[in-house]
Amino acid sequence: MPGWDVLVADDEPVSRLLMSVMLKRAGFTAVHASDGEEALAMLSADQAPQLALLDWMMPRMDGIEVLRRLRTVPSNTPPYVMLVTARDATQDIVVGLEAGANDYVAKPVIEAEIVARLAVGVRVVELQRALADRVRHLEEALGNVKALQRLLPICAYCKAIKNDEHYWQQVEGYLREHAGLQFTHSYCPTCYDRHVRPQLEGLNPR
Amino acid sequence: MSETPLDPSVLDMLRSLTSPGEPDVLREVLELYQKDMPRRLAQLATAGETGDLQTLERTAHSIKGSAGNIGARALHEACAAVEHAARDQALEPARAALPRLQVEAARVDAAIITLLQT
Repeated sequence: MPGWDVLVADDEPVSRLLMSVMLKRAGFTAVHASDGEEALAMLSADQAPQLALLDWMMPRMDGIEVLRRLRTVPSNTPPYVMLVTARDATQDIVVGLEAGANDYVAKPVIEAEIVARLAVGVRVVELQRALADRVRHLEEALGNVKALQRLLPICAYCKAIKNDEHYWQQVEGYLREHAGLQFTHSYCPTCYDRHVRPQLEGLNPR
Repeated sequence: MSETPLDPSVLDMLRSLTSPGEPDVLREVLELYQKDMPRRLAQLATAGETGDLQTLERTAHSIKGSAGNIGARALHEACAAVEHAARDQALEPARAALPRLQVEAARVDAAIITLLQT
């Protein structure tokens, strides 16, 4: 998975090394934290890793507390976090998932399993990103629709529209900017008779 | 009690993690384990003497994690005994479980030295 950073948060150096080796072999880039506070800071930073392997029992702040604090911050693209720990009792799994973990793996980790589970994480993060992009586009479109819902001053004669900057703007230009409409210029039969035919006749005097 | 302190299938798994042109993962892992163990064993002994249950639990848990990673099953079990006793606030059982942990740690250490020499 080239281009994906994965936070490996574990106070135990042998586990950090092993997980890093497994990640590297799968094409991920491992970044490290050796306690919970450091992990929380790294996951809260700009450009934070979108995937994390979080040990449960760590000094200064345990993995559960990291998750609880992380999940109180609203985000359109929250990181995908897997708890990695020797605790494997059912009750612990429930506590971990309820605190906000996306997944849970028991130590010692198995390469094929951890890579497959991270691939699930990649799919979830990509889906979140796509949804967040879609929501952003829809919000932009909705903003334009709102601009069109108010009363627009329009010239009774030439049909120019007074825009937000109080300039009189041609109706085509205004609608193009606010609703993304495209126009092709033509003329209706009435205007053909009223404007176009006299001009053509003026060009070809009998 | 098994006669080999390190599970051969785990050692094979660690060997298999070495990619071409990369450092030997088994060797790296064992050296890192050895480098980190004296500090943690000393921490554990001090915590046992002073009755510091939290440090006993955390340090035993940490060594247990390392032991699991290198396939040191007997050491893993000995660590779990100390960790669980300390978590249950049972100081005397935790203290009583320490010597077995230290014996297993010494066996693992000897096995690693032999492995790294070959």
